[in-house]
Amino acid sequence: MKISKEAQYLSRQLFDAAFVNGCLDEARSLKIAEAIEQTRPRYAFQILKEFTRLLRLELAKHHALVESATPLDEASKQAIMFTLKQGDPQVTFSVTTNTSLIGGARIQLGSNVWDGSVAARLEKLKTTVLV
Amino acid sequence: MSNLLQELEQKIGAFRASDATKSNVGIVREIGDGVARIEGLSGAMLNEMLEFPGGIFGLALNLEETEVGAIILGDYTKITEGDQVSTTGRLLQVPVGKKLLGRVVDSLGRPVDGKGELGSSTFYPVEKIAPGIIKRQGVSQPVQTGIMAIDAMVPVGRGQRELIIGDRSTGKTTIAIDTIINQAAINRAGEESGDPNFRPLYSIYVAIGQRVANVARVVSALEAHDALKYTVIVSSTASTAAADQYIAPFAGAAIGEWFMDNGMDALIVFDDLSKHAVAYRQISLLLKRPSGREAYPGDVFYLHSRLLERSARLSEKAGNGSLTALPIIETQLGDVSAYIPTNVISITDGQIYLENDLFYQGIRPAISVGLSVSRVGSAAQIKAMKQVAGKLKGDLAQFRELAAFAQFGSDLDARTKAQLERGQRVVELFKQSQHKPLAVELQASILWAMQKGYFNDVPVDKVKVYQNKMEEYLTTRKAPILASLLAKKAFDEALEKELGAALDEFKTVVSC
Repeated sequence: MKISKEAQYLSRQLFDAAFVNGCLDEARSLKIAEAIEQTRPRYAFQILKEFTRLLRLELAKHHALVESATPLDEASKQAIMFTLKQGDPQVTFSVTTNTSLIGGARIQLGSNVWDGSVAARLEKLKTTVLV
Repeated sequence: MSNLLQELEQKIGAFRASDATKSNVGIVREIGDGVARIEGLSGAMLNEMLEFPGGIFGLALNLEETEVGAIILGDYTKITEGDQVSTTGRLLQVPVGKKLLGRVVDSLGRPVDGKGELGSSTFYPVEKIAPGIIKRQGVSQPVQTGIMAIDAMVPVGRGQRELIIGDRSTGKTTIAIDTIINQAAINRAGEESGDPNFRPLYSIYVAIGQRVANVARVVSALEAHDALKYTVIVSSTASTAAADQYIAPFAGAAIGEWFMDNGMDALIVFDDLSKHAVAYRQISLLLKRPSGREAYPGDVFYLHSRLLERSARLSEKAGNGSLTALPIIETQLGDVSAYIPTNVISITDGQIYLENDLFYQGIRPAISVGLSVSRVGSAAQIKAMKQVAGKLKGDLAQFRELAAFAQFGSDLDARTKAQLERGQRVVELFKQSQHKPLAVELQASILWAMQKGYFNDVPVDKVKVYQNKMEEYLTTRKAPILASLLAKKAFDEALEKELGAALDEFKTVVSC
């Protein structure tokens, strides 16, 4: 969707206002969204869309998606959580099982991916051997 | 077979040893016209190669707060919204080396001539910082174009950047191709002579936004003159994406730099930078960069200056290699004051300006003497050429002025008449057919004959025929004189005597 410069600027300002002590405040974010909906400023739809996009990216930055080929035991989950928290104290995480990984695990935090799955290794082997 | 197994085992060993890999990924949010906008990729670097699904690569050009703007190198129609993109940590590279000689490659260095793989294992980054001041030295060795008008009046030196500028169909590409053909002839002669000090000059022809038929014509012309084996052709035709056209001259420069860095000499032709600027404008507008004059982005000057600055003559310490650039610019209705022409004129060390009017008058190459200049090339001209062509440029410019003036009056004094007659003969001498470059010793001999008045009693319309006969006579019967001139690189008393005697003899044999 095309977005005007003005809408972009305003949504950025509102997004910055949703932070408290450097952390995204959920309640404040909702309040801002409600305020946009009620006051209906110029480009309200665009602002809301861009504001939501920025929130989505910010949340993704602090949310780790852990995929494993087999269900993880509690100890492994705790170990992963501990390691991730060291890098980012705000981090939250969800665990899913993905059998297409064949073995091992894949963790995505924001745009960083740590891939230790067998599927990724096989892919790497394929490129190494076929080059 | 055992080698193959060993190699495979090694690769499997390396695979076993590898641990979990860390990568940086993003999601394609918008794709179209060869440009993608990608969300994520927080770790992407400027000009870094990005990997799209299906083995397609892109180049990160815009790093924004939440998005990355990238150009796609390849078929962008296979990329869809939501595709995952990952960083590679590599800059765009192209294969370089002598294995590329005689080949036609695309802007990523992949062969497109159907002659199989290149087999080159050396790669150079497409974007590279130009050599600094310490690594350079002045231009002092000539690049013989084989075109008498250029070698005499606007000489080009190794490491120089000489612009070829003119309207469409005025012979810009022909000048570049003739230069490549002449260099090939010099290379062949040098190799045959077995001279250990001989320095061959390899050529790179970069076609940007040209018609495929034109590129095919260039290839066949080079093949016909046995010049392709000393040439690399980087082809990014009009049918390729703007991203490929944008990359092509940089890829060509990287290929040329390899020769320069390894102590060799190379010549690169950018045909043409007007279309390159247009391709860059397209990319910039699609990437939503702010536009400036004629809708070109603000950094279009930097685009060409950083490209042409990569041409240099390296110092003895840095290997003594050189990269000479012949960029081509196409003007619209002879307007040299347009945005891109003025930019490139100011970057280069001189220009060869081709005039439409001269072309249609039959003066080919249609070089405008008044507007063409070489700022550093005269230092590279051989002494013999300087001796015979020293004042030629000024005389010819004066002749053009006089000729225009003479149209109004019939009564001219003897001095003016003589000047006009001489000018007309020089103009005739400088007419040259395409793909027929002249050796420098022959050019100098012809100009010496002109200077000494051997053409004075030849009617103007017969000068060309007389010159051709003289060339034939000198090359077939008086080859030792030409060889001696080439070796001495200057006219001395003895040589002048010998050449004078030969030309006197020629006069008695040949009548016009």
